[in-house]
Amino acid sequence: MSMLEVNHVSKSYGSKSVIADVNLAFEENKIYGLLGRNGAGKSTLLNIITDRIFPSSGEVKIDSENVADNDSKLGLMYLMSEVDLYPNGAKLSQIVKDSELIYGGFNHKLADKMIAEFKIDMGQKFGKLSTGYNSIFKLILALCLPVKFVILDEPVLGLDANHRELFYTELLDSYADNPRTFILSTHLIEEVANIISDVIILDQGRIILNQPVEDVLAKTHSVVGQKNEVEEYTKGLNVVGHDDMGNIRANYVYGDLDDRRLPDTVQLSNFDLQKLFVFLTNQYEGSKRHEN
Amino acid sequence: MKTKQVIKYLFKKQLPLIGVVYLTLIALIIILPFLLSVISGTLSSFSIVDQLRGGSVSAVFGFYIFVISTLSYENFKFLIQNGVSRSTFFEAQLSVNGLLILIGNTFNLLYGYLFLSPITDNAPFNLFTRVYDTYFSNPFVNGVLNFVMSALMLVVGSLLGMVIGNFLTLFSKVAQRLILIIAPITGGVVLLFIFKAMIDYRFRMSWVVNFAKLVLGYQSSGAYNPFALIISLIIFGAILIAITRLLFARKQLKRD
Repeated sequence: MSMLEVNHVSKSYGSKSVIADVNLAFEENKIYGLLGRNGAGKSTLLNIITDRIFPSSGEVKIDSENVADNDSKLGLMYLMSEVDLYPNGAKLSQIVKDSELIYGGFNHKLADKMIAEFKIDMGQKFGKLSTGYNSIFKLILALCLPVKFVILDEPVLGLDANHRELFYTELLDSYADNPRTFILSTHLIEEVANIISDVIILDQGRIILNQPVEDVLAKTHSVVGQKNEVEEYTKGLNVVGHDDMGNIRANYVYGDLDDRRLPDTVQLSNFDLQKLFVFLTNQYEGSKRHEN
Repeated sequence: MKTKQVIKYLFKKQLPLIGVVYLTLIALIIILPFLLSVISGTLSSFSIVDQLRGGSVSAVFGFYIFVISTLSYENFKFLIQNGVSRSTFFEAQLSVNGLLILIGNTFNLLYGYLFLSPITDNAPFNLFTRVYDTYFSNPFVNGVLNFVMSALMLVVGSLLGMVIGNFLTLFSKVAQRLILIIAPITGGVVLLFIFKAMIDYRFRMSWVVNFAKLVLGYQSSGAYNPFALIISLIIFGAILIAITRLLFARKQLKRD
């Protein structure tokens, strides 16, 4: 059972702290969603995990072994990111061959299927690809290389709706055929909400939420009704945000409800991950920080 | 360790450049002068032997190995994308440069001994044949020592390239440009100062001259001692390897 651990990782550029004492554990065969606003530190964290940059402090381990300067552990991960690390002058087919040589394997069957579905010309040079096809090519590599941890940083950048849909289908099929750990870092929360099993929210370099999606959604409560009744009912609860529609108020609660009696005129339901994300990352004026 | 795979990748990528270098050399020392002599109407005075005598194959290969050694960031990007550690990259790059030097040096010496020497009445074609060739009278020993010394000079040239290239990759593009502008100017000023000091204060600077004599194996009479330079190159090479290793360990993806 492979486990990827991030232990007390911090990163600063000069006096600016980008990542502050992050602790995480990624278990085998789960699909994680790493969410955060722009500049939250997601890409920096993923670059540290894959040893592309050094942390200011802390360490990353796979199966209790530090990944830093460690081929056997680094070779278990593939980070697909917006940054292009392939030679611009190289043909796509050549990059596949070279990547296969170094990783020691490649799923050609799946690659051929994806190449046909996405209609990508493998004779093209990498530097000539459009933003969308650049993402598609890197996604093909990510899904076809023999790694245990597939890390995707903004995987659908530049992809149109059809291609995004196709990618999510391929991802789930690939996961079903060959279960492994996926870490999806994205802004498109609604699109991945039904795919991910666990959600991690990074805000200003700190982890503010790290739980299974099912548990998270079970703790979201939208309390809608007359303003005074809603306020009365949610008194003392963790209200992370609210909406007003005339005299009607919706208070958004994150956390367990106690056994207080629900007034007949107040309605209770769950709200979605995106709304919770917005509230927790202080997008909404009335929100407050939730410590996991 | 993925050293074998990385060696294969780097070697496959860098080997074809040797062919390009030698073809460019042929174009520069034979074809271009030939065309110029045709255009200028001086074809009767054009001599291929003179052209070959004047063009240093060893120097051109040295320049090639120096330049490719400075270019490591592109390979680093590809390798770190593919989960290769810095130490594996370092070991593989050293091995590949060693292989390229072996190929280039062998070609250079075969070309020198078997082709250039016979057609130029045994004119010297590299540093060894110019200064050290008469230290031993046995041509086989001289050939072996020439191979070792030439290879070591290329190794040091390659390591110098690796040190400079890897040092620069620690900085942003803007800082790199500043260094590339400021460093040669500073170096030039320092060299001018040293030369001036050597001329003005010949006596005080004599240690520099004495040190140079020691390194080169200078002897007041007869041929220079090749072992002095070989040992100096080995020591200098070892120091450069240690510096290069440190610089490789500090490589990381840049933000620009």
